[in-house]
Amino acid sequence: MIEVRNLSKTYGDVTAVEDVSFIAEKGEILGFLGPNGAGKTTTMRVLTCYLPPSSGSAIVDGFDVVEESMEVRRRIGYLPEFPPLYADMTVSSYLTFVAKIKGVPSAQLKSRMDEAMEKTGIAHQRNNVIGHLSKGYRQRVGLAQALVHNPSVLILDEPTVGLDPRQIIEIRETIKALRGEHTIILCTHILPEVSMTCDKIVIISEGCIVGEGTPESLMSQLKEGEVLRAQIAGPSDEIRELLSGIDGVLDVVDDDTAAPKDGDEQAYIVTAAPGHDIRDLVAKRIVDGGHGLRELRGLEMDLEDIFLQLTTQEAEA
Amino acid sequence: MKAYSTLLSLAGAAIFLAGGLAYLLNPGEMWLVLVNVVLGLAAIVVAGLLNPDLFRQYSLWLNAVWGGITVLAIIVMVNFLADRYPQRLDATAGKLHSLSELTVESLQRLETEVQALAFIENGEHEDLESLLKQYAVHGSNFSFELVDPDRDPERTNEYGIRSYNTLVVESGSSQQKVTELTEKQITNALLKVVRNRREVVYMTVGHGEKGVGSQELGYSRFKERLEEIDYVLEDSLFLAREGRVPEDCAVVIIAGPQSPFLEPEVEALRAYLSQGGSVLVLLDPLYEIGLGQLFREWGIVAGDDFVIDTSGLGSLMGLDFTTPVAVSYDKEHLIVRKHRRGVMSFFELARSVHLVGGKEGYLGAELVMTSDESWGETDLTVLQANPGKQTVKLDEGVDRPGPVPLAAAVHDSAGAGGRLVVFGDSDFASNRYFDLQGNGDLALNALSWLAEDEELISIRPREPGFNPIALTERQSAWIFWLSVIAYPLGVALVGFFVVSRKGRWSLRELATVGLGIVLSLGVVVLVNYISESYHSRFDMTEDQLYTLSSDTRDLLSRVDDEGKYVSVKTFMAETDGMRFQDTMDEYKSTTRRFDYEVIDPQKAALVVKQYGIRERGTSIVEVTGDGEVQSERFTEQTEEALSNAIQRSLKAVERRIAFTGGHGEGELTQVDGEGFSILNGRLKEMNFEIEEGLRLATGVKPGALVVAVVAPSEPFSPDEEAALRAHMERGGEALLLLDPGQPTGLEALLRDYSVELGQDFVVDLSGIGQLLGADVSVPVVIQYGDHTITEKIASGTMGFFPFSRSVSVDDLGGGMNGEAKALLITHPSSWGEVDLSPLTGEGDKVEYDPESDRPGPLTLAVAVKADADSAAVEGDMARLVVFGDSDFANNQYFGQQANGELLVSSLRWLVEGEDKLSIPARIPRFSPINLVGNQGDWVLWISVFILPLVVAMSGFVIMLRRGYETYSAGFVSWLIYSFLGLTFFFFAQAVVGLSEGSFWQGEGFLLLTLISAAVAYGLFRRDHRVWPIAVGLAVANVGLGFVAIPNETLQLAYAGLFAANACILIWIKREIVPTKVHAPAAG
Amino acid sequence: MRNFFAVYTKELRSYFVSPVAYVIAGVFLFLSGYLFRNILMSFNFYCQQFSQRSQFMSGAGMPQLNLNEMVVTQFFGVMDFIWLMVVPMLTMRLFAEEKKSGTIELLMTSPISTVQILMGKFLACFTLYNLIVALTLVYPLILEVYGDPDWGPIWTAYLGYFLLGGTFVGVGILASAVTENQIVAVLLAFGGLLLLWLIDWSATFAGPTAAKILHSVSIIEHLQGFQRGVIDTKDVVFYLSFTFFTLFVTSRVVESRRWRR
Repeated sequence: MIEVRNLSKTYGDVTAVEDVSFIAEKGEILGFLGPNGAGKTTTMRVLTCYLPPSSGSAIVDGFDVVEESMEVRRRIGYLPEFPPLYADMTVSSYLTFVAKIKGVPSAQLKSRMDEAMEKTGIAHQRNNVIGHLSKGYRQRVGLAQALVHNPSVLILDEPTVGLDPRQIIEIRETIKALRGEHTIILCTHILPEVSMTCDKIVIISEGCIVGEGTPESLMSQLKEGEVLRAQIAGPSDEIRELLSGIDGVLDVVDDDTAAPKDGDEQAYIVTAAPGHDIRDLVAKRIVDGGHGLRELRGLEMDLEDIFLQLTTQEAEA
Repeated sequence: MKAYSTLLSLAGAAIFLAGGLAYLLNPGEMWLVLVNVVLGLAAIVVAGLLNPDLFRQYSLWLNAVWGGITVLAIIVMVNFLADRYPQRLDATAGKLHSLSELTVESLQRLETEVQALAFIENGEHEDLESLLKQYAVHGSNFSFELVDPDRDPERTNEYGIRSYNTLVVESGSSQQKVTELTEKQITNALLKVVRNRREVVYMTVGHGEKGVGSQELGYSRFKERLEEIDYVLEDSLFLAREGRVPEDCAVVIIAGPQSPFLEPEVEALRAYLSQGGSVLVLLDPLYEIGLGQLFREWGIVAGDDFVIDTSGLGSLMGLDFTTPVAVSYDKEHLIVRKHRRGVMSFFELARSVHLVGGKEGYLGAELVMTSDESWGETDLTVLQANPGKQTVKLDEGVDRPGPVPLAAAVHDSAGAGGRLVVFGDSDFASNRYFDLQGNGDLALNALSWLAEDEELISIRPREPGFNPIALTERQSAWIFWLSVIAYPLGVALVGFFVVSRKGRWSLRELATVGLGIVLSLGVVVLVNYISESYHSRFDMTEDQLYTLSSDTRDLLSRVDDEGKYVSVKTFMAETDGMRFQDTMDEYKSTTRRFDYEVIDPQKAALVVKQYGIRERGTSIVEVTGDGEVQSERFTEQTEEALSNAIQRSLKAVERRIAFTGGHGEGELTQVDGEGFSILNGRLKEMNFEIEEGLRLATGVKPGALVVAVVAPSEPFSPDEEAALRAHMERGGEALLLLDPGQPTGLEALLRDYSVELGQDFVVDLSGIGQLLGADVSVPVVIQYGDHTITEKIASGTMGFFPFSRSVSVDDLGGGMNGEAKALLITHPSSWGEVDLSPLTGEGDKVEYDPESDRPGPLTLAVAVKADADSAAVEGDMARLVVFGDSDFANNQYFGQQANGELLVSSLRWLVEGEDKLSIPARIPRFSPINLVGNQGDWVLWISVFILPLVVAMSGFVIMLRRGYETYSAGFVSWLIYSFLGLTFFFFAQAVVGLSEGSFWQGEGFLLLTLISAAVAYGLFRRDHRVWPIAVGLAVANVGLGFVAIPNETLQLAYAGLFAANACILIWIKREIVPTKVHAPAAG
Repeated sequence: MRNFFAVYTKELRSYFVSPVAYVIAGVFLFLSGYLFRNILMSFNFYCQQFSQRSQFMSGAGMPQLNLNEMVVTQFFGVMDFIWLMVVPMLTMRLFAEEKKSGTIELLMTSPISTVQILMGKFLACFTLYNLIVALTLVYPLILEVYGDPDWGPIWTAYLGYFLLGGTFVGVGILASAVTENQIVAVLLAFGGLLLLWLIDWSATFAGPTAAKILHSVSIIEHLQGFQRGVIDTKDVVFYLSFTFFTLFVTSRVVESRRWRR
């Protein structure tokens, strides 16, 4: 449905996005994950034909973004970071206007508008002036304008930013309800949002794709033994000295989350470079040092860690 | 209760303050003030009891208020002092308020006692007093006194003072009154009182000299300034007639002569000079005036050149290189000793004047020198060359290199003390240049030196600073480029650089945008250029104000067909004659082969000289085509004049004029007063081809020819008359200027054309000409016949016809059709004297005897247009103009008022033929406006109040309909402000009432002040109990407005305002009074 | 075509909903009403004075007491300067507000070309301008009631204003497209128009050819024909081409927003 092939975009001498490629199937919700300034918005702007790509290409619903941009624009509903609302218009007049410029035939205007308002639950506000609506309702009107022409592709850029928890949940529910009818790209830097709603995730950092796949595949891909938790009795400095001396260990941190043990028992979090299984090494070194090894196990990494891992890893390399 | 204590204390303070202010305004009314002061203090005390810690609050307030009061007091005091003891610092450049050199010197030389009495309104006039004080300081025996006419009536009557602010300067018996209390006037009065002698200065006439007229090149300014110092200037010395210089003449001035002096005149001047007389000669380049020999005897030579000055100093005043500017002056000579180094004098088109050392005992000095970058250009053809070409360069050896002397003065100290001053230019003392920097003083000092009146030689008091900003072309162009182009462009570039460096625009993107813009600009410019040349105009005005007449359009299409090019030069300032310029714009847009240029005579002296332009508003049309240029000249600024001029040039038929010879006629080339060289010059300008010495006997060649007979002394033979008759019958034209004396031999021919030649000479007792020295033998005409020749002459301009015969006409008889009209009609008190003896010098007495002489009014000239039966061209008419005199056209009289004009327009009428275009001038129709009574007010109310308010209000209503609930909050704040304003207004009324002692108005308004303050506070607090009071107050105020405010329109607005407030209060009732009542928020 | 109409109606409605249009129209009408009244009253005073004097002064050269010359041409002569101050305020919000509120992204990502957006906005503002101009028709009507003006020059003057309005709005919309900040937009528009207004003043000092160019560029020089009652095709072409140029540059500027962040 959406195919992006080694897309890159430069402003003057600044490269915002470099060699990005990914595919989104029809009806799928794709999570576009990345810290602020990672190039998410730029990519979205290229997809919605707002900005021309510097190199590479993107095909939406079979139409190339640059050559047949008019066709692409008819098929895309776009909710940018800040919803594009005219504060002085009423909700209904605003949606009519958007429907018209999105090419909805005048016959279906009324029906499409009602449907969009139903889906986003703002029907009761139809005659209110947008300027007077609360932030949550404004976000909903933004969403409604993206839906009003029943686009085959829906691009939502940080749809829940700035909302209170209750509104966030409502918006997420609305987005989930749209699954299947549209191909949705959800840009966000909030990880739980992605893990709950998205079928597939693409992680982007400093303009490049650093990871791609379903939440589960990502987790398994990075799971084995990088992070260990060891419970050891003995003088903490000496032990810390000992542990950090092991080959492949990146850093040693006290795990103060665990409940305090009696005596001089202390729990440590040992992070090792990926691909190094250091469990037996650690056990051997502690025993030789004459300290008491109480517990040693690998930590289950959740998405947050994966995300931090991927983005920080990038920093070292 | 606490809240109410603060309110009470505030009310008490207000009452106390009202009482205090009332006392300040009018200390008289004690008891009312006391009442309020006590009441106020009582209120404050009670409030203090109610709420003890009130005073702590107060102390905070007080020291804030106290600071304010002290500052205010200081400001008031400072102003008071500044007003009482003003100091005046005279920072003006020209030290306008200190005395000038002339005044100081005259005061120091005062021998006799001089007293000045100033009759001033109530005896006080600071400026005059300080001025007279300065006079007293410099002049030891000068005293003054300020008199108040009301308090000292007898002295006022004694001096016959009729109006305030008159100063009497008195010394011994003579006294002078001055009404314009300026230093210049007072000093002049002072000088007159001391010197009390009158001198007469004569200006010679008869050689085309400049007179004392007020036109640009006249000497009226010079005459005024001379009269201020008791010199009377007469421009009436006709040396040829008087033979010698009159006794009472202090100085003879010869100003810009154009024709040479006769031998007797030079002899008279030489005699006058040798007996100690003084002569001031102002020459001009180009003219030979026959005084060279006399100058050489006195050691002065006038160069036969004209001075070119390329220093650019002239350009400061907008003058070009033909106007030399003198900056260096002789150090010792009395005339120019006082001219400081920097003062400039301007000489338009001057010639050089050198000192070559004459007889011993003659002390001479060259007074004025031009700068080094100037030289005496000997090639005078440049001045006469056809206007286009201007090649002026310093050729070594031939021209005199700079600096060039422009004036010289010689004093015969050994002999009888004669003095001679010669200037190389006459324009520098004319009205146009008199007031410029050094010119005026130069002329006045020269005259004072000549009249041996040295004490008057000084620098006159300055008018307020004459320092014009004058940039040479180079500087102004440089400033234009810097300020209009470079500077803004630089700023834009910096801005652009900053923007692009931030990386938001890459160079490539900018280039594409830039290219797009430039391309589109190119397209736009191209489209405009095309539309500029191929465009059509539609005149939508009803009276077709901006459409040229069909005749003009045909004319212009003829210009196109014949491939001719028309260029018009109009001599006037850009700003006047706008309608004429509009008309010429129409010509320009009708055809591309027409162009016009407006030349300001002030700025282009050389061009004016080359075209010989005499008055503003003259236009020159030049039609160039197949190699030769036809030029025409016209003065009226109308479409008719312009089109006719173009048509005349187009016709380009060779206009020929043949002057008959062999009967002692006047000489065209003779340059003295009797000659007709000036007429000759004007004929050349009118593109006439001139033939002289035509022998009528040999017959007149056919073709367009004007036969001119000028002042024949012998009669014509019959066959000459027949030849002339044949010429006339072929539709020819003739111009006859016949003097009185003997029959001319053409009487029969003239009688056939119903023209009666009087055998008399006209005597004019009307005395009209007396002012300008014309005696009874010179009839003066101010009434003109109704004919195209005389239609352009403004009524009241005079025509002088010395020794003229009468020429009368009665309607055309003998089957000829056409018209015959009289042109010049003399004054009724003139008559035709048949006894011609006085003419030949025997009899001298002239009086009217009824039988023989013909009574006035008489006609001196006629114009006849009659059928020509054997005319070559069908419908061509014979034209004839006969004047009863010829002297009116000679060099001496040609330039006098209407004379020249008459002759030129007669020639033009003779030549114009039948196809003269007559195009009515198009003036917009008469459509006045008459708004009476209240119609004016209606317009005011509709256009200024109702319409704008309706529009603004409609927007307001629409907004309200959209239910902006924030507006009601807006309304409440509006109400608070209006009630606060009301409080202050009532407070002011209360104070006024108290100060006037009226209890009801004072206390009543005080009470209203408190109520409206409470309402404002209540609204602010949204206290619902205040709502009813507010509505009541608003409604009451509508009525109160008509009482409290004097001006009725303001009353209307005030009442309207509070009516609106009342409605608003009702409208937003629920905002203030909530539907469910809850306890009001305590204070 | 429908897209253009959608933008046009939306823009026009937003003009009539916000107080801006009403306040500007109100102030403008007050100013022009005040001017009109004073010009008319002084002419009225002049006529009355003349009628008294002419009893004894035998028609010494009939001064042109012509209603058009003294009132209509003068009034319209002053009006164009007032317009110069008013139009920038109308046009300042056209693009500047869109960029500030981010709605430009909505427009640029909808299937509607830049030209359609531009023409929609331009014609909306132009219609409002002409509506306000139409309101000033009341003044010639007053003249018609109290005198008899020549309606030829009045209609040509209004045609002149119609064309001049195009240029003013064009320059205004260009200024609005260049910047996000509305204040800068007003200043740019006002500065640009004032420069074009005064540019021929320096012609008097410049050389002949420079003078000719400067005169042909000045927007006021071309108006004089209309105010006098003469329609000249070169003036019409000037205004139309000038408006086209400003709109073309604006479309390029709006389009170039795509290349910047």
